[in-house]
Amino acid sequence: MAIRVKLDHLLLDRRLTLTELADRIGITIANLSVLKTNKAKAVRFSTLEAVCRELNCQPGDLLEWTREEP
Amino acid sequence: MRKASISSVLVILLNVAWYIVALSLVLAIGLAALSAFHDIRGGEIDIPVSFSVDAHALPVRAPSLGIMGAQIEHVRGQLKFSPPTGASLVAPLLVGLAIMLALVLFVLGQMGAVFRTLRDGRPFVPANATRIRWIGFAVIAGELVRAGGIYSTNSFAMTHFSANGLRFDARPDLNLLTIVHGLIILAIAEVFRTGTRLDEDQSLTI
Repeated sequence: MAIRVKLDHLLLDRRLTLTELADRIGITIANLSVLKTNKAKAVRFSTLEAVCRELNCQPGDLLEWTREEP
Repeated sequence: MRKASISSVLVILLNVAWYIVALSLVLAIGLAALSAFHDIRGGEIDIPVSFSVDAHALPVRAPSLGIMGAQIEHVRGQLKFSPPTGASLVAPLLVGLAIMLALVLFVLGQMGAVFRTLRDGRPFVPANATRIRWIGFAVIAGELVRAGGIYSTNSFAMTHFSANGLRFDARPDLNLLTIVHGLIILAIAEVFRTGTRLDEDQSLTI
């Protein structure tokens, strides 16, 4: 997918684990893992808000657009 | 009774039906192969026939309505006879039966797979849309094979049999309602495919 979720980078910067973040924002580890591994097809605003709040970042810090090879 | 248990019962029934049809198919193929090499004698066979009644031999009237010359046409029936030489008649009938049984077996297998996913609580998988679509194709194909088989036996009776006052004819007897049912199943399969896509999108929305 052309939109990449940079959750792994942010977690590394904040020295947080996926389990800790899942506990803080009330999302299952399985779902957060789907987000982290770029398998998600859509992200709810509520999820985005919760992640940004806990990681103290902007949505733009979390998402990155890359040009796909044709 | 819970939904899950209904699915479980249906899976068991479909499995039993699948094994019975599979056994019948093996028997039909075995007998067809046997009849190709050996003359199977004894017993009677039924073939579907279509005939019209000769209006001169059997006049149909309704004097109270003022109808003096009605005709009976395209009557459907079964012609029962003892085949003199089994190989030339029994083998094609058994091959036709085997084709129909193979189609039924295929449909039962697909339905069983669909109900197994329902029993396991994950019916909205793309494979089920494909299975339902194949069931639709099989229903249409089965009807075409049945109509073709009936046309063949009608033609056989028309060529070889005769009766006073009857005129055998050959008609395919295609049941359009069954074809429509097959098309409805195909439409449902496409709706189901869209549903599975939406379900997948929903499950991957975080």
